[in-house]
Amino acid sequence: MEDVTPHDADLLLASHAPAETERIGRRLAAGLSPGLIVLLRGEIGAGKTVLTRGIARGLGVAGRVASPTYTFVAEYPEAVPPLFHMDLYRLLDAGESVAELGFDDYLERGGVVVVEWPAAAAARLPLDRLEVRLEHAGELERSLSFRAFGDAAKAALLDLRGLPEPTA
Amino acid sequence: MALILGVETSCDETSIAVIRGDEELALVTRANLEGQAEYGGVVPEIAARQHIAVIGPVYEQALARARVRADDLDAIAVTYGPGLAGSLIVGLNLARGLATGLGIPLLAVNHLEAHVLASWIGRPATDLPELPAVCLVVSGGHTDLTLMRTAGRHELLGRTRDDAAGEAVDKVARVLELGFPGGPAIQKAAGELPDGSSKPYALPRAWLRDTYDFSFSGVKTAVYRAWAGKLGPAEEQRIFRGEGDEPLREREPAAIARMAAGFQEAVVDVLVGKTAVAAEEFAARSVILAGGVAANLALREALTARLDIPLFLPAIRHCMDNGAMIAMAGARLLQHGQLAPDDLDIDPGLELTARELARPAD
Repeated sequence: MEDVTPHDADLLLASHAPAETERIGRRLAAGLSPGLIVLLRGEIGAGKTVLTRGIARGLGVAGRVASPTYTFVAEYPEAVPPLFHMDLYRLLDAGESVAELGFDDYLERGGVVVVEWPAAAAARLPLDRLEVRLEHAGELERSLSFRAFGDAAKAALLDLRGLPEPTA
Repeated sequence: MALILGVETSCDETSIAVIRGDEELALVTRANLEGQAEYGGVVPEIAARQHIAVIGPVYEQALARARVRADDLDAIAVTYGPGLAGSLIVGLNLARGLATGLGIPLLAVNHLEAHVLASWIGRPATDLPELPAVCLVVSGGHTDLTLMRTAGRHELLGRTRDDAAGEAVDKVARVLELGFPGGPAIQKAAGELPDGSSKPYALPRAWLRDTYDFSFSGVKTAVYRAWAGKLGPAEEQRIFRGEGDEPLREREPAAIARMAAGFQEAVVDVLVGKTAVAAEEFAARSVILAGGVAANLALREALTARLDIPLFLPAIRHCMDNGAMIAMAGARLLQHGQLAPDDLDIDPGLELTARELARPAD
């Protein structure tokens, strides 16, 4: 369903439960600077929304963080920096025909943009971005691989060093 | 009897209806997003372009089918939220233009409130739900359980913490390669379960004790894991009831039917269970079902069987987003003289619990 391009990860982490995935998101949030785009790849139930919820908590969002599949984007202006949670699941069949993602508007507002199911965005990715692939490793276990493109993305990963890595 | 035009463009459907009193004269709906090759546009506004393309013809057709002229209309009702910003604007612009041009009132309708009112359409005005009423609004974007103690005032009891029920349905239908829209596809596949020996698979239910909140991410994930052959031994034992099935690896129709039926059962169980507990706790005198998922026959039947108080079900065609329910909610607003302010703007994040609502049971 999602494009699978193997890549060399800059960082690999293991999660044993959704709560742990959420904690990773919380830690990740500390390193996210305004203007950064985070792409979340992974099949259904891999934990993309859970990781985003962690990021949101880390940025100071107290309220509900649910899947924005039907609305494409959920805005959290109360987050610092503001968080824009996009979900392009409903555009999976669109290929790359989407003219524009509207990233610029959000970035101009000094926000962090997290994108679930980014396949439709493939042709329009900014050079500086953080890509996270989440994979099923068991009923509750997930593996997360991070790849940083650009300096801001690399800096974002610094706060994650030292978390548990997969034993395999 | 007021003649009201209802305009709905909050998400994918462009829908316009004409009602007189509580009677629907015409309802014209165009479903836009899915199944179309063209997605040109900016993502947050992606549906807007399609609304713009079809809203004129949909409006003309609604008037023609109702056999009325624009001059005959008494008021224009329009969804101002919640929904996609770009889509809401298209409907509001048309509605405001018509109201101004015709010199008639504009009525601002909360889309979720209109869903709750959908079961009133065509019903005698004397046959209204007694309060307090428990309302279950289930759609692609919402799963809200509310308590209505006084007409038009909703207290939120619970909502989904992750995926809306309708969203999980669409995603599971896609996983099982049953197509879109997911609701009818899952219902059909589940209906193909052969009677007798084969039972629905036992998919997990997230009961989330001591709360009226819902979670449908777990059951969705279980279907995906089973379909993708990712289940561990313990999961397999639970889901396939230890009957030694070759889980979906063969992807046979019978296995797909058992999976669709198991998924439907899991979702319906939780929706019905929580609604019934809420109805009892708050001594509800009626229950109102609303939203796209309300079209699911298993849900309608299970709720009917479980409740011993009156259950209000919308007609199937009034479950999905539609202009008739907007006109219906508008009629209530007009009755109470609650006209839209001149500077009415869209409110994409509007909640069912917002204070300015139509008053349904008056």
